[in-house]
Amino acid sequence: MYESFNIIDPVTKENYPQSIYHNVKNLQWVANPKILRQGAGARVMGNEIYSNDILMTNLVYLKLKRAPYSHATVTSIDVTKAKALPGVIGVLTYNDVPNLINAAPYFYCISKDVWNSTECVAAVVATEEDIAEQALALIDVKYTVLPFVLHQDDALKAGAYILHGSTNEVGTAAPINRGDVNAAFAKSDNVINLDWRNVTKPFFGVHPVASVEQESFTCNWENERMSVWSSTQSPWGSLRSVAAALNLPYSKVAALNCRMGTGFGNKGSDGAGVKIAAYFSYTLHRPVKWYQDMDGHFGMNSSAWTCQNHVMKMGVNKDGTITAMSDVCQGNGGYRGNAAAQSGIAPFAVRIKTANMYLEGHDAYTCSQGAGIPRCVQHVQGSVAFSVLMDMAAESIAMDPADFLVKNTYDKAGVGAQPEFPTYDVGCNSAPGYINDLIALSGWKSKWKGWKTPTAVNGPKKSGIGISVHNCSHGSLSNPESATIMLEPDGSCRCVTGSQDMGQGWRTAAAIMTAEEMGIDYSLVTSPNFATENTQESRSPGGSTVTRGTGTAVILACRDAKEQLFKLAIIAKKFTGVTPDQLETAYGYIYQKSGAAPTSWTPGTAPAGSVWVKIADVCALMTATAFTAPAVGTYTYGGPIIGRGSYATGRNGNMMQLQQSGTTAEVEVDTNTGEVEVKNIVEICACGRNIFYQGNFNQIVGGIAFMIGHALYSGLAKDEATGLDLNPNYTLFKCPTSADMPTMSVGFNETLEPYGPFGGKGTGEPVMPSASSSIFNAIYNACGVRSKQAHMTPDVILAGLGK
Amino acid sequence: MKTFTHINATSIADAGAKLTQYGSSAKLIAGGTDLIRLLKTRCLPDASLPQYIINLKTITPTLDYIKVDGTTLKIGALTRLHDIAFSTTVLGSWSSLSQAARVVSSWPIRQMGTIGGNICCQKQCWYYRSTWNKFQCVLNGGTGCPAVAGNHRYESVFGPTNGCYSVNPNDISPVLLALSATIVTNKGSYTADKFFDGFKITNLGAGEFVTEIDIPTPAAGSKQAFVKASERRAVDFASANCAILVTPGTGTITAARIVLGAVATVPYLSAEAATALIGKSISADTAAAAGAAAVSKASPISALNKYKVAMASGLVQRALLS
Repeated sequence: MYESFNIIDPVTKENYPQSIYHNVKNLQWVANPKILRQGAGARVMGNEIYSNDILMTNLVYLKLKRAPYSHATVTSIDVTKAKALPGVIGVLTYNDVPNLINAAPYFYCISKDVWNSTECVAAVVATEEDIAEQALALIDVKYTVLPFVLHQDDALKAGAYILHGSTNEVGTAAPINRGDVNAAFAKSDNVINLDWRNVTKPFFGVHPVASVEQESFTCNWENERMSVWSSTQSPWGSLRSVAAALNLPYSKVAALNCRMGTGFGNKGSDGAGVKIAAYFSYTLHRPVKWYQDMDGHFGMNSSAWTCQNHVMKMGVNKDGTITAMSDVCQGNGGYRGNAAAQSGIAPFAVRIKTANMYLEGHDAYTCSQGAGIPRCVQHVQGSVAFSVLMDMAAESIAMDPADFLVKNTYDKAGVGAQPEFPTYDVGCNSAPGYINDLIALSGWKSKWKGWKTPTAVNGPKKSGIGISVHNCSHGSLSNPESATIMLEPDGSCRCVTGSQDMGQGWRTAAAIMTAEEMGIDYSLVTSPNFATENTQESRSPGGSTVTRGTGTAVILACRDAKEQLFKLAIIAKKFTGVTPDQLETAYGYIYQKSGAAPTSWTPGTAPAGSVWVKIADVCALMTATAFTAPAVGTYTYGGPIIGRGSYATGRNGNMMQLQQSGTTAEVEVDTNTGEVEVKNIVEICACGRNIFYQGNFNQIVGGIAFMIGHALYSGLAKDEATGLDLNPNYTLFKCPTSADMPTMSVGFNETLEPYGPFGGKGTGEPVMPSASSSIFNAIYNACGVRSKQAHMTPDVILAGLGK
Repeated sequence: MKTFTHINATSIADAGAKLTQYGSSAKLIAGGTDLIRLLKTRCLPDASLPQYIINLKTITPTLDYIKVDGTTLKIGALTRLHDIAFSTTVLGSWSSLSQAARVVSSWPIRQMGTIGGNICCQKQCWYYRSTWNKFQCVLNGGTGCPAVAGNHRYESVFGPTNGCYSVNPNDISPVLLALSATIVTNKGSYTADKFFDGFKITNLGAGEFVTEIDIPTPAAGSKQAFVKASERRAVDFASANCAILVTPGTGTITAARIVLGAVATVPYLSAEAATALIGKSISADTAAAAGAAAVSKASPISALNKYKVAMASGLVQRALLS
């Protein structure tokens, strides 16, 4: 399936001015493609424990009753029959749910007022799942159905039905207003307009981003302690919400992490289930399991469906210079009024070099799902449109779109690189290098034959190629971050962080960095799932920043552990006349920096004047006899060695990373049937230092798969008459299958991020916008149908062709 | 998922007797790939959820076979789609059936799903399939077809049956119609054109179920093909599909059966397309004319499902020129 896997232009730049992390020579584990993923054996053997695998004696099951309306209020609810059903042991409605659980308006766990069809009006606990479902059917609820608004443009119209307060507008942030846009447009050779609709009637949104593993929680109140087994990427959030709901100290709640199946965007919300499950467990003194039903999973919890419409404008001169750009974005904030538009427009400020830019966003309350994160902090939705706009601008001046990208892509770094944030230090910028890599690896110059010129024609089938790049900023959103390094007497090591591995391989990345920084063999490092009782709080993975954030804490913990290790070595007289800061590790040995360093795992005897001591030998001293005191006993040297690392982004001042990606797509369009087949994808990821090589590769391939769906068919559909979801499960909603995957070439443009451990930046998200928009641009190249919406389904293609 | 009582049938007669005994409170299970989904999602009204599941896989002698009797291909109802897809017997003279079987859903589903279950599979309309039967459409105990005023992108372009616009998106059924198959049941048999119903999928009566599919050998020199368009390339029902049998495959055509799937409430045998072809030989022009003729009576609900007309026309051309 994968044609090739290339690394392009690895940069060996060292001592980057602001970096304390780049001075590691001869990297052994970082960027090593042969690293075995942490827990790989258990996964292959099917022995991993996921939260839904948790079974306990006396376990009971929680089910939630959801409203079948988009906007309504409950006028009466009768649970008599449900309570009488044998096996039912608890029923909760809005009449009796404790206030602490129903925390805030629009975030009620069990609500009388229904603002979205997946809101919960009652909960049942029973000894069997089927009994709980039967009981849900027996609850008699009468509603007063109210008018509803699904779309943000409807919600923001004058005279619209007002859902909350006096306006449907959630709020607007200060727009970005750089230079004089109108004056620049007036002087431009061409001005391009694009009215991009992510929300269209056939397909309402792009991604529900309901992860394949549904949310599952088991709560057990026992021995004055609430244990919570969760499948969320935010176990610390579970801990806090359960503690708050039950008025318990945080210390009385333990989140016990299991293997997490997937996240892919936003699996950080607890929804209603965990708090209600905890409540029932607390009151019934029985373990309670809640497994999110698919309707809820798609509609309520996993929130990353597309919600932005953009009205864009770009001025361009015939020499290829972008003179100005503007965008007014309307975001669908859903029933909880989430911010969608602001984060949708934010990346544009670092996408192109132009002195004139105006960006404005408005979010609206609607009766839809809350807008969220489609695996790229909502950048995807606007950035896809932006990349189509760039293609249109290049075409308007008959310029090769690849050259247009090289000329105009934002390429600045350092303090003040982004005018709107003059105090921010923008991390390394890989443009235009990664774009040039993409052009070379894809063979763009030989394949692209001109505007509206297919690369091949075979009867009704026309082939085309498209290109797109993406810059987005990721930065100061990750406090606290912490890690613990525990050295064992045999020289092995455990790295425990409070950040959940959500399937992307964070535990492996942490272990790689630990092995590299400690100078020990990777096989000696274990990075386990954690329990909140056994480590400090650390951030939820997200924003493609956990490697940079918690990874930095890992490095600091390693250094703390090494200092203790060096002290022990000095106390044991393995080294004399030195201080800990004069020692370092490499290849499993401690050595004096002033002397020669080992250069292999079997270095032999140290040369004259140098001392090499095995790390394992020093670790063994933790339990070795130091001396024996007569009539008192035997004393060891001490231990254990526990290194702690704590890091907060704020300590580095205001900073942001630029994560970057470039993609070319080759497609074949059947102009008779409107079918689109993606034939080939070439992707270059500017990931900084490529710390977890295979994990990065997997993330990119996953992102490509995700966005093939975004481009072609992965839409959450709604019934406009009722506002109800039509395909809220994976039998009706379509995500790409392996059969839909094209041949792919993935390359990494490695540079060194000043704030990232070993120079790492981030990988997960940038591929998303560039992959889907390259498909849109390729479709245009093939058949001349320009995408102005997500989902180039056959009906859109055929309509564009006049059929 | 609703709980049920699982009963193993021992023979065709036993299965028929139990099906009659339990009536509407029972359903048959073969591969179970769709039935379990129906039960899990509770998309049927509670009263329609079965209390009894009658297992056909325990019937002896087995209904899992592919054989040729004289000039007739005989496929047992419990034959898995995977086995049909890769049967050299089927590939010999009934290659379009093999082509169709290869593109049903996914490899794992084809390993479980049977041909009998496949052609009796319930409709896939998302209003009908909504969890907890939220839309209560005419097919699911309610009134009217909410798709007409709602999202009908996948619905029929050849009108409704009993008010229901949901299509039969099956991949196997158009081939059976094109190849003039006979569907044998425990009580009798149906020609393919009499077997399918636009509302209740099949015309099977109470206590009746499919036991065998009989397909005659097409005339020597005929051309047959099956093509499918779907939004994704696996685990997807057809947006449109097309099965053809043209006699002869080269030279002047004397007989043609052009069947469209997933565009009407039943597999749609187009007499207009046949007329456009008879007396002519296959070429790009005649294929285009046949494609246009095949959809000449189409009447999409709105622009939302209009694409199916062009798509079906394009598939007819693709099949003829394949």
